[in-house]
Amino acid sequence: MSKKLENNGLWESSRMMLPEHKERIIAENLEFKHKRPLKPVLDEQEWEEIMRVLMESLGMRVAAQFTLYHEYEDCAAIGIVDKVDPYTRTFIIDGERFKMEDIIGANLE
Amino acid sequence: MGRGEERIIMLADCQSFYASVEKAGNPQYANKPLVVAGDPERRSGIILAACPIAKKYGVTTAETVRESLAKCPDLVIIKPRMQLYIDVSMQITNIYRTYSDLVEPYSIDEQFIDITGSRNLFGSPLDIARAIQQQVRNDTGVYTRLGISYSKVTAKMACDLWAKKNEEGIFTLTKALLPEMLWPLPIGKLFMVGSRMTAHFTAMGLATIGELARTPLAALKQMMRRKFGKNCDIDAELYWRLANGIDDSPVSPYTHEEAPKSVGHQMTLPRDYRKLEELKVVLLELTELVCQRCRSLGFMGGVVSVGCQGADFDRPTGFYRQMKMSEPTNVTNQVYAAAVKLFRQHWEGVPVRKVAIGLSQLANEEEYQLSLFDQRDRFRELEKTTDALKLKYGNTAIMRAVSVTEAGQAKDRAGKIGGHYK
Repeated sequence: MSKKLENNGLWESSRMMLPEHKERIIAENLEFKHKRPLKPVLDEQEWEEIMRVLMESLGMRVAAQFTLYHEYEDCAAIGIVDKVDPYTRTFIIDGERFKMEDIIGANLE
Repeated sequence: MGRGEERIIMLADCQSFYASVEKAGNPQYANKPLVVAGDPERRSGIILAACPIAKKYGVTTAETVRESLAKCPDLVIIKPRMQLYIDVSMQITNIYRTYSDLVEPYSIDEQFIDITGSRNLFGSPLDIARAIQQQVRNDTGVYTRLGISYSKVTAKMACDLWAKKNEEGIFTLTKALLPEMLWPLPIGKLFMVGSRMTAHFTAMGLATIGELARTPLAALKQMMRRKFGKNCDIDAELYWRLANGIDDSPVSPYTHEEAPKSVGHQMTLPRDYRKLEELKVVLLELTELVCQRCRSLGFMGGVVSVGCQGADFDRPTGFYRQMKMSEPTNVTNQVYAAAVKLFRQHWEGVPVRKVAIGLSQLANEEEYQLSLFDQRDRFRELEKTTDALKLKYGNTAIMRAVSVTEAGQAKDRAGKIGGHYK
């Protein structure tokens, strides 16, 4: 198959762009992407607190709320933790699996 | 798109873009015929853009200033300001971005917008199109025309074939409308079909877009193979898909960030160059620009290509040849040596109007095969310094001595973007 028939090939091969214009787009895209703050670095106490909430929710069957970092927008996982898997470093709420490394905040409901 | 839902894609095109930007900046010319044109002294004296009033006089883009003055003696002629046009184009991109994060510039005055996910926020596609039109006009003075459809290619045709011609400047081409609207049109109206392909298709008995669309793909492949005497299945499939309005291409906002496959520069000379000494000067200057860009991107090129075009358009002369170098490099002197060698091999001594140089088979400059007698590292240090100087103080801050000879073009070119004034 030719590149022209795949993906964005038709448009990439036919467009007319000034190199200066392209540079400008790339520079602004960078700004665009970086508007999103980087994932905060958590200190030990914060981690400990998150772990405590995770374990309490798992052990006591109480609902908790976890704030998860995402490339575009922070998400929240709310519910009772059904399982914590230390090997894959994931946890499950309502059958949905989340990564522990994405957690940036947690509290019991 | 994820749930098998039909996408909604727009192509927004700016009417007489350069001329509209100039009109917005010079309100005293609002009701006068205005064109943006290159410099006649340097043979780039063609019309780059004509405003709608000038077009009414019969002025068209790409004709010479002299021809257009004959049609319209009180024409306002303005020198291009390329940097400004890039800035305004970016401003328009950012307006589109307030409606969708999926915006892909296709050229300086055409951009694709995928608004599939924006309808809940901003209303129907037609509402969004009107709002965009209004806002771009208010903010920049530029009039946009929008083609709305389910794919990029149909959006492009909706814009070119109908939105540019109707009162509102907006046209929606749905899948159901294709047989009724697109297919009766002559084949030359199809996107990517120019005058030569029109002649070929007509000779093959395919005079309308519909006739091409309704030809089974396998039959079309055979017809084209017979016509051109070689396998052109890919082109056949491409045209067949275009005619049927099939295009899955995504609107990709970061498409421009992909690594280039080649880096090249070309230049139209202000007069015909006849001597090898003169041509070597521009070859060196172009090589410097190409290598400079490669270095800034962090690439080395393995294949150098050189092309030139003769002065006489009616009897075309010239060549375009490429050669693999012994090892990949982005050192100006090394690429230059290869380019000159190639040029001497193929140039027949005829006057030259246009010169082009390119580097391809790009590879990361950090990884390369060491060789015993290589001086690349020394050159590299030197060029790192000159590049830094140029980046800070402009391309004329430090130049080769030959560039101040009469044949040199580096100084002139440094003040231009895309061959026209900044």
